[in-house]
Amino acid sequence: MSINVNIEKTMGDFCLKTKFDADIGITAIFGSSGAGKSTLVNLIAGLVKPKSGHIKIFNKVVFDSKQKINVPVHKRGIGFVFQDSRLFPHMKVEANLKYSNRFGRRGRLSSFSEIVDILDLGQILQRLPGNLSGGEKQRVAIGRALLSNPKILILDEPLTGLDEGLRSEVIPYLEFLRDHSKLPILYISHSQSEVARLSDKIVVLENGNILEHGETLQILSSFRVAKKLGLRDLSSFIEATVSTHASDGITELDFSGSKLFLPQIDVPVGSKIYLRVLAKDVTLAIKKPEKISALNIIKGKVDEIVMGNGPGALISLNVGGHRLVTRITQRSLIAMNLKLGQTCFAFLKTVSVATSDIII
Amino acid sequence: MELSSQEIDAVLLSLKVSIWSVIFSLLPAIYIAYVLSRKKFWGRQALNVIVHIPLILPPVVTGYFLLILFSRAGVIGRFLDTYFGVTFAFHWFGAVLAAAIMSFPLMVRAFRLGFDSVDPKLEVAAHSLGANRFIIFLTITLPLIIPALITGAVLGFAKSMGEFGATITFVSNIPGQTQTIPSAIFEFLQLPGNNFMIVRLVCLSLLISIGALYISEVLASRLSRREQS
Repeated sequence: MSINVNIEKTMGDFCLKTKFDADIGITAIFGSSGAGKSTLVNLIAGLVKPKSGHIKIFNKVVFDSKQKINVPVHKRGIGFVFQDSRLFPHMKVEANLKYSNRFGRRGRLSSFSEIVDILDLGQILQRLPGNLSGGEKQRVAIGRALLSNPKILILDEPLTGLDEGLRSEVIPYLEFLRDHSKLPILYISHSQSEVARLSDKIVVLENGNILEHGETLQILSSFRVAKKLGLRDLSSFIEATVSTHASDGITELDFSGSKLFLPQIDVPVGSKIYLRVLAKDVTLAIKKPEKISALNIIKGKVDEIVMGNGPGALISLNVGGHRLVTRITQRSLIAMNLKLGQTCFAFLKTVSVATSDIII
Repeated sequence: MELSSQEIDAVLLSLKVSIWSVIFSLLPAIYIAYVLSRKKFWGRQALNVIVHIPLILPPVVTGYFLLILFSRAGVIGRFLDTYFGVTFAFHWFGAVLAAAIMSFPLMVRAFRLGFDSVDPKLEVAAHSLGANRFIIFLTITLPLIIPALITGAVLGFAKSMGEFGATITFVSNIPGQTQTIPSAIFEFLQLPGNNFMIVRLVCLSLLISIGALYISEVLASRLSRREQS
Protein backbone atom coordinates (compact mmCIF):
# COMPACT_ATOMS: atom_id res chain seq x y z
CA MET A 1 0.00 0.00 0.00
CA SER A 2 1.29 3.45 -0.86
CA ILE A 3 -0.29 5.25 2.08
CA ASN A 4 -0.66 3.65 5.45
CA VAL A 5 -2.33 5.62 8.21
CA ASN A 6 -3.07 4.68 11.81
CA ILE A 7 -3.42 7.75 13.98
CA GLU A 8 -5.22 9.27 16.92
CA LYS A 9 -5.78 12.89 17.74
CA THR A 10 -7.87 14.70 20.33
CA MET A 11 -8.90 18.31 19.87
CA GLY A 12 -11.15 19.53 22.67
CA ASP A 13 -14.21 17.26 22.67
CA PHE A 14 -13.42 15.91 19.25
CA CYS A 15 -11.54 12.67 19.00
CA LEU A 16 -10.23 11.32 15.71
CA LYS A 17 -9.16 7.72 15.44
CA THR A 18 -8.50 6.30 12.00
CA LYS A 19 -6.72 3.43 10.38
CA PHE A 20 -6.74 2.92 6.63
CA ASP A 21 -4.61 2.25 3.57
CA ALA A 22 -4.77 3.91 0.21
CA ASP A 23 -3.20 3.08 -3.12
CA ILE A 24 -2.64 4.59 -6.54
CA GLY A 25 -5.87 6.14 -7.84
CA ILE A 26 -8.37 8.31 -6.03
CA THR A 27 -9.42 7.42 -2.51
CA ALA A 28 -12.27 9.61 -1.35
CA ILE A 29 -12.38 10.83 2.24
CA PHE A 30 -16.08 11.30 2.59
CA GLY A 31 -18.32 12.58 5.37
CA SER A 32 -20.51 15.43 6.49
CA SER A 33 -18.95 18.64 7.78
CA GLY A 34 -17.42 18.15 11.19
CA ALA A 35 -16.74 14.48 10.54
CA GLY A 36 -13.01 15.12 10.69
CA LYS A 37 -12.09 15.03 7.00
CA SER A 38 -9.93 18.15 7.04
CA THR A 39 -8.37 17.22 10.37
CA LEU A 40 -7.43 13.85 8.92
CA VAL A 41 -5.66 15.26 5.86
CA ASN A 42 -3.99 17.99 7.92
CA LEU A 43 -2.57 15.24 10.12
CA ILE A 44 -1.33 13.32 7.09
CA ALA A 45 0.20 16.45 5.54
CA GLY A 46 1.93 17.31 8.80
CA LEU A 47 0.05 20.56 9.39
CA VAL A 48 -1.24 19.15 12.68
CA LYS A 49 0.61 16.68 14.87
CA PRO A 50 -1.19 13.45 15.83
CA LYS A 51 -1.28 12.37 19.46
CA SER A 52 -0.15 8.86 18.62
CA GLY A 53 0.18 6.37 15.81
CA HIS A 54 2.08 6.27 12.56
CA ILE A 55 1.86 7.46 8.95
CA LYS A 56 3.76 5.80 6.13
CA ILE A 57 4.03 7.11 2.60
CA PHE A 58 5.52 4.58 0.17
CA ASN A 59 7.12 2.72 3.06
CA LYS A 60 8.79 5.86 4.34
CA VAL A 61 7.71 6.63 7.87
CA VAL A 62 6.80 10.33 8.05
CA PHE A 63 5.26 10.12 11.50
CA ASP A 64 5.68 7.66 14.31
CA SER A 65 4.93 8.57 17.90
CA LYS A 66 6.89 5.63 19.33
CA GLN A 67 10.04 6.25 17.31
CA LYS A 68 9.57 10.00 17.74
CA ILE A 69 9.60 10.62 13.99
CA ASN A 70 7.77 13.70 12.72
CA VAL A 71 8.88 14.80 9.25
CA PRO A 72 8.04 18.51 8.73
CA VAL A 73 5.42 19.52 6.14
CA HIS A 74 7.86 20.69 3.49
CA LYS A 75 9.78 17.42 3.50
CA ARG A 76 6.82 15.04 3.36
CA GLY A 77 6.42 15.27 -0.39
CA ILE A 78 2.69 15.82 -0.30
CA GLY A 79 1.08 17.96 -2.99
CA PHE A 80 -1.89 19.79 -1.52
CA VAL A 81 -4.74 21.40 -3.45
CA PHE A 82 -6.86 23.53 -1.16
CA GLN A 83 -10.53 24.38 -1.46
CA ASP A 84 -9.63 28.08 -1.71
CA SER A 85 -6.82 27.35 -4.21
CA ARG A 86 -4.37 29.65 -2.33
CA LEU A 87 -2.49 30.89 -5.36
CA PHE A 88 0.16 33.46 -4.53
CA PRO A 89 -1.52 36.75 -5.49
CA HIS A 90 1.72 38.60 -6.30
CA MET A 91 2.98 36.00 -8.77
CA LYS A 92 1.83 35.29 -12.28
CA VAL A 93 0.41 31.87 -13.04
CA GLU A 94 3.75 30.76 -14.47
CA ALA A 95 5.61 31.77 -11.30
CA ASN A 96 3.01 30.02 -9.19
CA LEU A 97 3.53 26.86 -11.20
CA LYS A 98 7.30 27.10 -10.90
CA TYR A 99 7.33 28.03 -7.21
CA SER A 100 8.27 24.58 -6.01
CA ASN A 101 11.06 24.29 -8.54
CA ARG A 102 12.53 27.62 -7.51
CA PHE A 103 11.97 27.70 -3.78
CA GLY A 104 10.61 24.37 -2.65
CA ARG A 105 11.13 20.70 -3.31
CA ARG A 106 12.89 21.40 -6.60
CA GLY A 107 10.15 19.68 -8.53
CA ARG A 108 11.31 18.71 -12.01
CA LEU A 109 10.37 21.17 -14.70
CA SER A 110 10.78 18.59 -17.46
CA SER A 111 7.07 17.98 -17.18
CA PHE A 112 6.22 21.69 -17.15
CA SER A 113 4.97 22.04 -20.72
CA GLU A 114 3.23 18.68 -20.50
CA ILE A 115 1.27 19.71 -17.41
CA VAL A 116 0.51 23.13 -18.87
CA ASP A 117 -0.93 21.31 -21.89
CA ILE A 118 -2.93 18.78 -19.91
CA LEU A 119 -4.47 21.42 -17.67
CA ASP A 120 -4.88 23.84 -20.56
CA LEU A 121 -3.00 26.67 -18.87
CA GLY A 122 -1.08 27.97 -21.88
CA GLN A 123 -3.34 30.97 -22.40
CA ILE A 124 -3.20 32.19 -18.81
CA LEU A 125 0.49 31.75 -17.90
CA GLN A 126 1.11 35.50 -17.85
CA ARG A 127 -1.99 36.40 -15.86
CA LEU A 128 -2.15 37.16 -12.14
CA PRO A 129 -4.40 34.96 -9.99
CA GLY A 130 -6.61 37.94 -9.14
CA ASN A 131 -8.29 37.84 -12.52
CA LEU A 132 -8.75 34.14 -13.05
CA SER A 133 -12.09 32.35 -12.80
CA GLY A 134 -12.66 29.88 -9.97
CA GLY A 135 -12.16 26.94 -12.30
CA GLU A 136 -8.95 28.35 -13.74
CA LYS A 137 -7.62 28.96 -10.23
CA GLN A 138 -8.22 25.35 -9.27
CA ARG A 139 -6.54 24.11 -12.44
CA VAL A 140 -3.48 26.22 -11.66
CA ALA A 141 -3.50 24.96 -8.08
CA ILE A 142 -3.61 21.37 -9.34
CA GLY A 143 -0.75 22.08 -11.75
CA ARG A 144 1.30 23.76 -9.03
CA ALA A 145 0.86 20.77 -6.73
CA LEU A 146 1.74 18.33 -9.53
CA LEU A 147 4.89 20.27 -10.42
CA SER A 148 6.13 20.04 -6.85
CA ASN A 149 7.10 16.45 -7.59
CA PRO A 150 4.80 14.98 -4.95
CA LYS A 151 4.68 11.37 -3.83
CA ILE A 152 1.00 11.69 -3.07
CA LEU A 153 -1.65 14.30 -3.75
CA ILE A 154 -4.28 15.60 -1.36
CA LEU A 155 -7.27 17.43 -2.85
CA ASP A 156 -9.27 19.15 -0.12
CA GLU A 157 -12.75 19.80 -1.53
CA PRO A 158 -11.33 21.29 -4.74
CA LEU A 159 -14.78 21.69 -6.31
CA THR A 160 -16.67 23.06 -3.32
CA GLY A 161 -17.30 26.74 -3.91
CA LEU A 162 -17.40 26.36 -7.67
CA ASP A 163 -20.78 26.55 -9.37
CA GLU A 164 -22.16 23.72 -11.48
CA GLY A 165 -20.65 24.97 -14.74
CA LEU A 166 -17.14 25.49 -13.38
CA ARG A 167 -17.32 22.15 -11.62
CA SER A 168 -17.90 20.26 -14.85
CA GLU A 169 -15.02 22.28 -16.33
CA VAL A 170 -12.58 20.98 -13.71
CA ILE A 171 -13.81 17.40 -13.31
CA PRO A 172 -12.36 16.05 -16.60
CA TYR A 173 -8.90 17.23 -15.50
CA LEU A 174 -9.26 15.39 -12.22
CA GLU A 175 -10.28 12.26 -14.10
CA PHE A 176 -7.27 12.59 -16.36
CA LEU A 177 -5.10 12.91 -13.29
CA ARG A 178 -6.63 9.81 -11.75
CA ASP A 179 -6.15 7.75 -14.88
CA HIS A 180 -2.68 8.90 -15.90
CA SER A 181 -0.70 10.31 -12.99
CA LYS A 182 0.02 7.02 -11.16
CA LEU A 183 -0.19 8.98 -7.91
CA PRO A 184 -2.15 8.00 -4.84
CA ILE A 185 -4.71 10.77 -4.44
CA LEU A 186 -6.76 11.52 -1.33
CA TYR A 187 -9.89 13.37 -2.36
CA ILE A 188 -11.84 15.08 0.41
CA SER A 189 -15.50 15.73 -0.33
CA HIS A 190 -18.97 15.77 1.10
CA SER A 191 -20.67 15.39 -2.28
CA GLN A 192 -21.92 11.90 -3.13
CA SER A 193 -22.04 12.62 -6.86
CA GLU A 194 -18.46 13.89 -6.98
CA VAL A 195 -17.14 10.99 -5.01
CA ALA A 196 -19.14 8.48 -7.05
CA ARG A 197 -17.77 9.85 -10.27
CA LEU A 198 -14.14 10.31 -9.30
CA SER A 199 -13.09 7.80 -6.70
CA ASP A 200 -12.47 4.07 -6.78
CA LYS A 201 -12.13 3.63 -3.06
CA ILE A 202 -13.80 5.49 -0.25
CA VAL A 203 -13.25 6.11 3.45
CA VAL A 204 -16.45 7.25 5.13
CA LEU A 205 -15.80 9.29 8.25
CA GLU A 206 -18.21 10.04 11.02
CA ASN A 207 -17.34 11.85 14.26
CA GLY A 208 -13.67 11.14 13.70
CA ASN A 209 -14.15 7.41 13.18
CA ILE A 210 -14.14 5.36 10.02
CA LEU A 211 -17.64 4.14 9.32
CA GLU A 212 -16.83 2.23 6.14
CA HIS A 213 -13.86 1.70 3.90
CA GLY A 214 -13.98 0.03 0.51
CA GLU A 215 -15.32 0.27 -3.06
CA THR A 216 -17.01 3.62 -3.56
CA LEU A 217 -20.17 2.67 -5.43
CA GLN A 218 -20.94 -0.24 -3.15
CA ILE A 219 -20.37 1.72 0.01
CA LEU A 220 -22.40 4.74 -1.07
CA SER A 221 -25.44 2.54 -1.62
CA SER A 222 -24.86 0.39 1.46
CA PHE A 223 -27.66 0.55 3.99
CA ARG A 224 -25.29 0.85 6.92
CA VAL A 225 -23.83 4.08 5.55
CA ALA A 226 -27.24 5.32 4.43
CA LYS A 227 -28.65 4.94 7.91
CA LYS A 228 -25.90 7.22 9.22
CA LEU A 229 -25.94 9.75 6.41
CA GLY A 230 -29.71 10.01 6.22
CA LEU A 231 -32.05 7.82 4.19
CA ARG A 232 -33.40 10.70 2.20
CA ASP A 233 -30.22 10.80 0.10
CA LEU A 234 -29.86 7.04 -0.25
CA SER A 235 -29.03 6.44 -3.92
CA SER A 236 -27.68 3.92 -6.33
CA PHE A 237 -24.95 5.03 -8.67
CA ILE A 238 -25.11 3.22 -11.94
CA GLU A 239 -22.79 3.35 -14.90
CA ALA A 240 -24.54 3.39 -18.24
CA THR A 241 -23.40 3.71 -21.87
CA VAL A 242 -25.11 6.03 -24.32
CA SER A 243 -26.44 3.92 -27.19
CA THR A 244 -28.77 6.13 -29.26
CA HIS A 245 -30.08 9.65 -29.45
CA ALA A 246 -33.64 9.08 -30.65
CA SER A 247 -35.44 11.63 -32.81
CA ASP A 248 -38.15 12.20 -30.21
CA GLY A 249 -35.60 13.82 -27.87
CA ILE A 250 -34.95 10.74 -25.76
CA THR A 251 -31.45 9.39 -25.17
CA GLU A 252 -31.20 5.63 -24.83
CA LEU A 253 -28.66 4.07 -22.54
CA ASP A 254 -27.43 0.55 -21.86
CA PHE A 255 -27.20 -0.53 -18.28
CA SER A 256 -26.26 -4.15 -17.60
CA GLY A 257 -28.40 -5.46 -20.42
CA SER A 258 -31.36 -3.25 -19.62
CA LYS A 259 -32.33 -0.15 -21.53
CA LEU A 260 -32.71 3.24 -19.90
CA PHE A 261 -34.43 6.23 -21.46
CA LEU A 262 -33.60 9.77 -20.46
CA PRO A 263 -34.42 13.20 -21.83
CA GLN A 264 -31.74 14.31 -24.31
CA ILE A 265 -28.23 14.25 -22.78
CA ASP A 266 -25.55 16.09 -24.69
CA VAL A 267 -22.84 13.47 -24.89
CA PRO A 268 -21.66 11.42 -27.87
CA VAL A 269 -22.91 7.89 -28.46
CA GLY A 270 -20.63 5.38 -26.77
CA SER A 271 -19.67 7.53 -23.82
CA LYS A 272 -20.13 6.29 -20.30
CA ILE A 273 -22.08 8.30 -17.79
CA TYR A 274 -22.99 7.81 -14.19
CA LEU A 275 -26.54 8.20 -13.02
CA ARG A 276 -27.58 8.80 -9.49
CA VAL A 277 -30.93 7.21 -8.79
CA LEU A 278 -32.54 8.18 -5.51
CA ALA A 279 -33.93 5.16 -3.67
CA LYS A 280 -37.26 6.86 -3.10
CA ASP A 281 -37.73 7.31 -6.86
CA VAL A 282 -37.62 3.58 -7.52
CA THR A 283 -40.84 1.57 -7.45
CA LEU A 284 -40.92 -2.23 -7.31
CA ALA A 285 -43.23 -4.74 -9.00
CA ILE A 286 -43.28 -8.53 -8.95
CA LYS A 287 -44.46 -8.82 -12.55
CA LYS A 288 -43.30 -6.76 -15.46
CA PRO A 289 -45.77 -3.89 -15.51
CA GLU A 290 -47.52 -3.23 -18.79
CA LYS A 291 -49.09 -0.15 -20.23
CA ILE A 292 -47.62 2.25 -17.72
CA SER A 293 -46.04 5.60 -18.49
CA ALA A 294 -42.71 4.82 -16.86
CA LEU A 295 -40.17 3.95 -19.56
CA ASN A 296 -37.36 2.68 -17.43
CA ILE A 297 -38.01 -0.84 -16.24
CA ILE A 298 -35.10 -2.84 -14.91
CA LYS A 299 -35.10 -6.50 -13.99
CA GLY A 300 -33.13 -7.63 -10.94
CA LYS A 301 -32.86 -10.05 -8.03
CA VAL A 302 -33.51 -9.06 -4.43
CA ASP A 303 -30.22 -9.49 -2.59
CA GLU A 304 -30.74 -7.51 0.61
CA ILE A 305 -33.73 -6.60 2.74
CA VAL A 306 -33.35 -4.37 5.79
CA MET A 307 -36.24 -3.42 8.03
CA GLY A 308 -36.26 0.15 9.25
CA ASN A 309 -37.23 1.26 12.72
CA GLY A 310 -40.25 3.09 11.33
CA PRO A 311 -42.67 1.88 8.68
CA GLY A 312 -40.04 1.63 5.93
CA ALA A 313 -37.84 -1.09 4.52
CA LEU A 314 -34.76 -0.98 2.33
CA ILE A 315 -34.46 -3.34 -0.59
CA SER A 316 -31.46 -3.90 -2.81
CA LEU A 317 -31.66 -5.47 -6.23
CA ASN A 318 -28.80 -7.09 -8.02
CA VAL A 319 -28.87 -5.96 -11.63
CA GLY A 320 -26.18 -7.83 -13.50
CA GLY A 321 -23.72 -7.39 -10.63
CA HIS A 322 -24.75 -3.80 -9.96
CA ARG A 323 -26.67 -2.61 -6.97
CA LEU A 324 -29.98 -0.77 -7.25
CA VAL A 325 -31.50 0.28 -3.96
CA THR A 326 -35.02 1.32 -3.12
CA ARG A 327 -37.14 2.27 -0.15
CA ILE A 328 -40.64 0.89 0.26
CA THR A 329 -43.01 0.50 3.20
CA GLN A 330 -42.99 -2.66 5.25
CA ARG A 331 -46.65 -2.96 4.43
CA SER A 332 -45.88 -3.25 0.69
CA LEU A 333 -43.07 -5.64 1.47
CA ILE A 334 -45.49 -7.98 3.22
CA ALA A 335 -48.21 -7.49 0.61
CA MET A 336 -45.79 -8.33 -2.20
CA ASN A 337 -44.30 -11.17 -0.20
CA LEU A 338 -40.79 -10.21 -1.31
CA LYS A 339 -38.06 -12.71 -0.51
CA LEU A 340 -34.31 -12.76 -0.96
CA GLY A 341 -33.37 -14.12 -4.37
CA GLN A 342 -36.74 -13.26 -5.89
CA THR A 343 -36.77 -11.69 -9.33
CA CYS A 344 -38.65 -8.43 -9.60
CA PHE A 345 -38.90 -5.28 -11.67
CA ALA A 346 -37.85 -1.83 -10.66
CA PHE A 347 -39.15 1.14 -12.55
CA LEU A 348 -38.42 4.81 -12.48
CA LYS A 349 -40.12 7.57 -14.35
CA THR A 350 -37.96 9.21 -16.98
CA VAL A 351 -38.29 12.58 -15.32
CA SER A 352 -37.38 11.27 -11.91
CA VAL A 353 -33.75 11.16 -12.96
CA ALA A 354 -32.90 14.79 -12.44
CA THR A 355 -30.35 16.23 -14.80
CA SER A 356 -28.20 17.43 -11.90
CA ASP A 357 -27.82 13.79 -10.91
CA ILE A 358 -26.39 12.86 -14.26
CA ILE A 359 -22.69 12.88 -13.68
CA ILE A 360 -21.27 13.26 -17.12
CA MET B 1 16.77 84.62 -0.77
CA GLU B 2 19.72 82.29 -0.41
CA LEU B 3 19.68 79.94 2.59
CA SER B 4 22.24 80.63 5.29
CA SER B 5 24.81 77.94 5.97
CA GLN B 6 23.15 77.26 9.30
CA GLU B 7 19.85 76.56 7.56
CA ILE B 8 21.51 74.38 4.90
CA ASP B 9 23.27 72.41 7.64
CA ALA B 10 20.00 71.91 9.51
CA VAL B 11 18.18 70.67 6.40
CA LEU B 12 20.98 68.31 5.34
CA LEU B 13 21.38 67.01 8.89
CA SER B 14 17.65 66.40 9.19
CA LEU B 15 17.65 64.42 5.94
CA LYS B 16 20.75 62.46 6.96
CA VAL B 17 19.40 61.68 10.43
CA SER B 18 16.00 60.64 9.12
CA ILE B 19 17.35 58.38 6.39
CA TRP B 20 19.76 56.61 8.76
CA SER B 21 17.05 56.36 11.39
CA VAL B 22 14.80 54.48 8.93
CA ILE B 23 17.66 52.29 7.72
CA PHE B 24 18.63 51.26 11.25
CA SER B 25 15.03 50.65 12.38
CA LEU B 26 13.91 48.76 9.29
CA LEU B 27 15.08 45.20 9.99
CA PRO B 28 14.41 45.18 13.76
CA ALA B 29 10.97 46.72 13.16
CA ILE B 30 10.12 44.09 10.51
CA TYR B 31 11.25 41.33 12.85
CA ILE B 32 9.35 42.65 15.90
CA ALA B 33 6.21 43.28 13.81
CA TYR B 34 6.37 39.73 12.40
CA VAL B 35 6.80 38.23 15.84
CA LEU B 36 3.94 40.30 17.29
CA SER B 37 1.66 39.42 14.38
CA ARG B 38 2.39 35.71 14.01
CA LYS B 39 3.85 34.20 17.14
CA LYS B 40 2.07 33.41 20.36
CA PHE B 41 4.55 33.38 23.20
CA TRP B 42 4.84 34.27 26.85
CA GLY B 43 5.61 37.97 27.27
CA ARG B 44 4.13 38.98 23.91
CA GLN B 45 2.03 41.73 25.51
CA ALA B 46 5.04 42.94 27.48
CA LEU B 47 7.06 43.24 24.28
CA ASN B 48 4.18 45.09 22.67
CA VAL B 49 4.09 47.61 25.53
CA ILE B 50 7.87 48.12 25.54
CA VAL B 51 7.87 48.83 21.81
CA HIS B 52 5.12 51.40 22.23
CA ILE B 53 6.62 53.22 25.23
CA PRO B 54 8.29 55.99 23.15
CA LEU B 55 4.89 56.74 21.63
CA ILE B 56 3.22 57.46 24.96
CA LEU B 57 6.08 58.94 27.00
CA PRO B 58 6.78 62.69 26.77
CA PRO B 59 9.67 62.90 24.26
CA VAL B 60 11.72 64.78 26.87
CA VAL B 61 11.46 61.79 29.18
CA THR B 62 12.62 59.46 26.41
CA GLY B 63 15.52 61.87 25.79
CA TYR B 64 16.33 61.78 29.48
CA PHE B 65 16.45 57.96 29.48
CA LEU B 66 18.71 58.06 26.43
CA LEU B 67 20.96 60.47 28.29
CA ILE B 68 21.17 58.17 31.28
CA LEU B 69 21.87 55.09 29.18
CA PHE B 70 23.93 56.39 26.26
CA SER B 71 25.85 59.41 27.48
CA ARG B 72 29.54 58.83 28.06
CA ALA B 73 28.81 58.29 31.77
CA GLY B 74 25.78 56.09 31.06
CA VAL B 75 25.75 52.32 31.36
CA ILE B 76 25.69 51.48 27.66
CA GLY B 77 27.42 54.69 26.56
CA ARG B 78 30.49 53.98 28.65
CA PHE B 79 30.76 50.47 27.29
CA LEU B 80 30.45 51.63 23.67
CA ASP B 81 32.94 54.45 24.24
CA THR B 82 35.54 52.20 25.90
CA TYR B 83 35.40 49.28 23.50
CA PHE B 84 34.28 50.80 20.21
CA GLY B 85 35.08 54.47 20.60
CA VAL B 86 31.50 55.36 19.70
CA THR B 87 29.99 58.39 21.39
CA PHE B 88 26.45 59.59 21.04
CA ALA B 89 26.39 62.71 23.16
CA PHE B 90 26.46 65.92 21.08
CA HIS B 91 27.01 63.88 17.96
CA TRP B 92 24.69 63.33 15.00
CA PHE B 93 24.74 59.57 15.78
CA GLY B 94 22.87 60.53 18.92
CA ALA B 95 20.23 62.33 16.87
CA VAL B 96 19.85 59.21 14.72
CA LEU B 97 19.43 57.06 17.84
CA ALA B 98 16.81 59.42 19.29
CA ALA B 99 14.90 59.61 15.99
CA ALA B 100 15.07 55.84 15.50
CA ILE B 101 13.70 55.11 18.94
CA MET B 102 10.90 57.66 18.58
CA SER B 103 9.82 56.42 15.16
CA PHE B 104 10.22 52.70 15.92
CA PRO B 105 6.68 52.16 17.31
CA LEU B 106 5.11 53.84 14.26
CA MET B 107 7.05 51.61 11.88
CA VAL B 108 6.26 48.47 13.88
CA ARG B 109 2.55 49.34 13.86
CA ALA B 110 2.47 49.87 10.11
CA PHE B 111 4.43 46.67 9.37
CA ARG B 112 2.30 44.69 11.78
CA LEU B 113 -0.89 45.74 10.00
CA GLY B 114 0.76 44.47 6.83
CA PHE B 115 1.63 41.09 8.33
CA ASP B 116 -1.87 40.80 9.80
CA SER B 117 -3.33 41.23 6.33
CA VAL B 118 -1.32 38.38 4.79
CA ASP B 119 -3.34 35.17 4.93
CA PRO B 120 -1.23 32.57 6.80
CA LYS B 121 -2.93 29.97 4.58
CA LEU B 122 -0.74 31.16 1.70
CA GLU B 123 2.30 30.37 3.83
CA VAL B 124 0.87 26.91 4.51
CA ALA B 125 0.46 26.43 0.76
CA ALA B 126 4.09 27.40 0.15
CA HIS B 127 5.11 25.05 2.95
CA SER B 128 3.29 22.19 1.24
CA LEU B 129 5.26 22.94 -1.94
CA GLY B 130 8.43 22.24 -0.02
CA ALA B 131 9.65 25.71 0.94
CA ASN B 132 11.08 26.26 4.42
CA ARG B 133 9.97 29.06 6.73
CA PHE B 134 12.74 31.48 5.87
CA ILE B 135 12.20 31.10 2.12
CA ILE B 136 8.44 31.47 2.61
CA PHE B 137 9.04 34.71 4.49
CA LEU B 138 11.25 36.07 1.70
CA THR B 139 9.14 34.92 -1.25
CA ILE B 140 5.55 35.16 0.01
CA THR B 141 5.15 37.19 3.18
CA LEU B 142 7.59 40.03 2.55
CA PRO B 143 6.56 40.79 -1.06
CA LEU B 144 2.92 40.86 0.01
CA ILE B 145 3.55 43.52 2.63
CA ILE B 146 5.58 45.89 0.42
CA PRO B 147 2.83 48.56 0.55
CA ALA B 148 2.89 48.37 4.35
CA LEU B 149 6.71 48.52 4.28
CA ILE B 150 6.57 51.71 2.23
CA THR B 151 3.94 53.27 4.49
CA GLY B 152 5.91 52.35 7.61
CA ALA B 153 9.20 53.64 6.23
CA VAL B 154 7.63 56.95 5.19
CA LEU B 155 5.96 57.33 8.58
CA GLY B 156 9.30 56.63 10.25
CA PHE B 157 11.04 59.12 7.98
CA ALA B 158 8.46 61.83 8.67
CA LYS B 159 8.53 61.18 12.40
CA SER B 160 12.36 61.40 12.35
CA MET B 161 12.21 64.66 10.39
CA GLY B 162 9.94 66.11 13.04
CA GLU B 163 11.61 64.68 16.13
CA PHE B 164 12.48 67.44 18.57
CA GLY B 165 12.01 66.71 22.28
CA ALA B 166 14.12 63.60 22.68
CA THR B 167 16.79 64.90 20.29
CA ILE B 168 17.31 68.25 21.97
CA THR B 169 17.33 66.60 25.43
CA PHE B 170 19.81 63.94 24.39
CA VAL B 171 22.21 65.68 22.00
CA SER B 172 21.38 69.35 22.57
CA ASN B 173 21.13 71.92 19.78
CA ILE B 174 24.52 72.58 18.25
CA PRO B 175 24.43 74.21 14.79
CA GLY B 176 26.23 72.04 12.22
CA GLN B 177 26.39 69.02 14.54
CA THR B 178 23.07 68.17 16.11
CA GLN B 179 20.82 70.98 14.94
CA THR B 180 17.98 69.56 12.86
CA ILE B 181 15.20 71.60 11.22
CA PRO B 182 12.95 71.61 14.32
CA SER B 183 15.81 72.57 16.63
CA ALA B 184 16.84 75.33 14.24
CA ILE B 185 13.30 76.70 14.17
CA PHE B 186 13.28 76.53 17.95
CA GLU B 187 16.54 78.50 18.15
CA PHE B 188 15.35 81.16 15.71
CA LEU B 189 12.15 81.50 17.73
CA GLN B 190 14.19 82.45 20.81
CA LEU B 191 15.54 85.61 19.17
CA PRO B 192 13.59 88.48 17.61
CA GLY B 193 13.82 89.29 13.86
CA ASN B 194 14.12 85.74 12.48
CA ASN B 195 10.60 85.43 11.16
CA PHE B 196 11.73 85.13 7.54
CA MET B 197 14.10 82.24 8.28
CA ILE B 198 11.46 80.51 10.37
CA VAL B 199 8.91 80.64 7.56
CA ARG B 200 11.50 79.38 5.10
CA LEU B 201 12.37 76.36 7.29
CA VAL B 202 8.72 75.65 7.97
CA CYS B 203 8.02 75.65 4.23
CA LEU B 204 11.01 73.39 3.54
CA SER B 205 9.94 70.92 6.15
CA LEU B 206 6.41 70.92 4.75
CA LEU B 207 7.82 70.33 1.27
CA ILE B 208 9.97 67.39 2.34
CA SER B 209 7.16 65.71 4.29
CA ILE B 210 4.58 66.14 1.54
CA GLY B 211 7.12 64.98 -1.05
CA ALA B 212 7.85 61.81 0.92
CA LEU B 213 4.15 61.09 1.33
CA TYR B 214 3.53 61.68 -2.38
CA ILE B 215 6.31 59.34 -3.45
CA SER B 216 5.04 56.63 -1.13
CA GLU B 217 1.50 56.97 -2.47
CA VAL B 218 2.71 56.73 -6.06
CA LEU B 219 4.78 53.63 -5.28
CA ALA B 220 1.94 51.97 -3.41
CA SER B 221 -0.64 52.60 -6.12
CA ARG B 222 1.75 51.43 -8.83
CA LEU B 223 2.25 48.21 -6.90
CA SER B 224 -1.43 47.59 -6.37
CA ARG B 225 -2.11 48.30 -10.04
CA ARG B 226 0.53 45.75 -10.99
CA GLU B 227 -1.21 43.16 -8.85
CA GLN B 228 -4.57 43.75 -10.45
CA SER B 229 -3.53 43.84 -14.06
